[in-house]
Amino acid sequence: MISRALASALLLLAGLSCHAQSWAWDDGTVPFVVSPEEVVDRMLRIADIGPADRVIDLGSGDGRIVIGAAARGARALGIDIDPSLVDKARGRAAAAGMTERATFRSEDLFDTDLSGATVVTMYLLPEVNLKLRPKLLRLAPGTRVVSHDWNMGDWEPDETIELRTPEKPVGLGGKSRVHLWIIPSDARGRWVADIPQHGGRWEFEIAQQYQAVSVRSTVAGNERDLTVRATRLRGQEIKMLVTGLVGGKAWNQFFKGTVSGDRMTGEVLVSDGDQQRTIPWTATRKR
Amino acid sequence: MTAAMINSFFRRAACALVIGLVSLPGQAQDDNFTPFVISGDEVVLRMLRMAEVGPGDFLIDLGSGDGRIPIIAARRFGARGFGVDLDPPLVDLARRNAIRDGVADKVSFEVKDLFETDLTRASVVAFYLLPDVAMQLRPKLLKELRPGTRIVAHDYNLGDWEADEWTSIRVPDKPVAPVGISQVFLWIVPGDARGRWTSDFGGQRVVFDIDQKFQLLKARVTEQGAKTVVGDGSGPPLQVRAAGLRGEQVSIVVAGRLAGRDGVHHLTGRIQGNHIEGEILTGTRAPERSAWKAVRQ
Repeated sequence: MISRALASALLLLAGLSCHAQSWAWDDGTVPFVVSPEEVVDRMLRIADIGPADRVIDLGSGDGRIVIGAAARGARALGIDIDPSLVDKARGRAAAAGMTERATFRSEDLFDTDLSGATVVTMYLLPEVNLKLRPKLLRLAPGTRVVSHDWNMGDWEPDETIELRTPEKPVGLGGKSRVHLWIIPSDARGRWVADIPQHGGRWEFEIAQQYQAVSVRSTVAGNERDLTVRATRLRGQEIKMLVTGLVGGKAWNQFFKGTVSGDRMTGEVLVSDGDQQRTIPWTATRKR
Repeated sequence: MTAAMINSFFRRAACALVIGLVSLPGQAQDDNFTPFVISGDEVVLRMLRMAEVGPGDFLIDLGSGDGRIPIIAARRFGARGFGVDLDPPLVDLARRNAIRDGVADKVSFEVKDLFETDLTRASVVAFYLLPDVAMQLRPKLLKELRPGTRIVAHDYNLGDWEADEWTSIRVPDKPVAPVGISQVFLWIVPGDARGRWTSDFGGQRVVFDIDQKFQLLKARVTEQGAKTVVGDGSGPPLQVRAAGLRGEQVSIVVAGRLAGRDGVHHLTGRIQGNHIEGEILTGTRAPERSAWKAVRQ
């Protein structure tokens, strides 16, 4: 997990922040980084890794994320540029009895084919994350990306855990962050749904940047836009909470659906505060 | 997540849209009333996972509403516990939900003021309360809960008692402020690490002076009888690089020479009264392990 790049960064940080006490590191090694097992645990947890997953860890270091993912039943591959770390990781995987599911390869992480992954994990450096970003965004919608400490610039995480790690001498001043991104479907454009039981023709105009969507919604018989209170695009799953006059009466509509190509299908929960019902809906994208 | 729960959430959410959006914290406090807003199941799961709730746990939910936090804790994680709420119809609903979900033998619900609830049995406390109420509750939490007890809260924090862990998630179906996003906080009730602790490292006497605010420690380390003459081979003075407290588990990172070994030493141990027992890891690539004991004066 601690890649060579990170190791040099640790040395650099140690050198910068402790230049007055450089004696502490004068054995020339990386400063003792307390094994952030709890951070590894949060990374596996935030991605909800299970037996169906195919995990790729970029910068796998001593292999602990890969072994942790394998222990949760996933098949996991660690990539590290340092062959000696790959050897070490293989040794640890063997000691844990995980050689079947925990494998390692020595290569440059930018050369790694990520296409089969359902989860990509990393503990790199901010600029490396940014350099990887275009490649990550081409992954299949729904793929989870987990990063320790560093974010992805203006691509905000879907979920973040911050925990106190007072012994960790590098990073965020005694705290660690674990970020989760879920590769979003492309939901851009104008979508039309016909819901005869509730309002008739619905239109959604969706603008999207990364997973952030902003939605304008109209329904037959109401010339004004409805109020879209909240939206979420999480992988292929879209949710839109829409309120306004439908058929002359105030309703809440909670649309939930799955985006697949030019179709969204799901169900909408409609409620006026007293009664509610669930209606299936399908929308198609008008190009 | 059952359809009934979604429906229930949505019905409540719809009510909240009508009345809840104007129930700003200040107004809600005026009549000493905490509005009923359900934590969505996604958020409840985050809360329970963050607290690492398991079969050995006893969870108390303060303001339990329809009961979903204790019920999910029992159903998914095997915990036991109870919830209290001021609203009798909600307590009835929670009891019915517990029976429906087959966990009535594990969780119970009671009409009770949360400030009059005995918390001493809890290994986990959960709440979703307005900030003022949470702050009023804080002294009670610190007084009644054992060190190591986990506290999880939805959205509102405990002022200057910073959380040990925090998470945020986008939840579009959340109708109350902050709309569309939920935060979950975890605190571990800290033990008492204050004071002057001494350790003996093979004849080298070392003193740790520890100040504490909640779980935050400020530690200083000094060596008793250390020679300060430059060039005598004893090296520079010991330094604390970091210190932390999680329940009764204290950890201190010390740089310098301890027990004849130079480098960075990671001391961890459990506080029991005026004693700490634990271990030291020294070194970087292949840390050496040795025992650590400290006594409070």
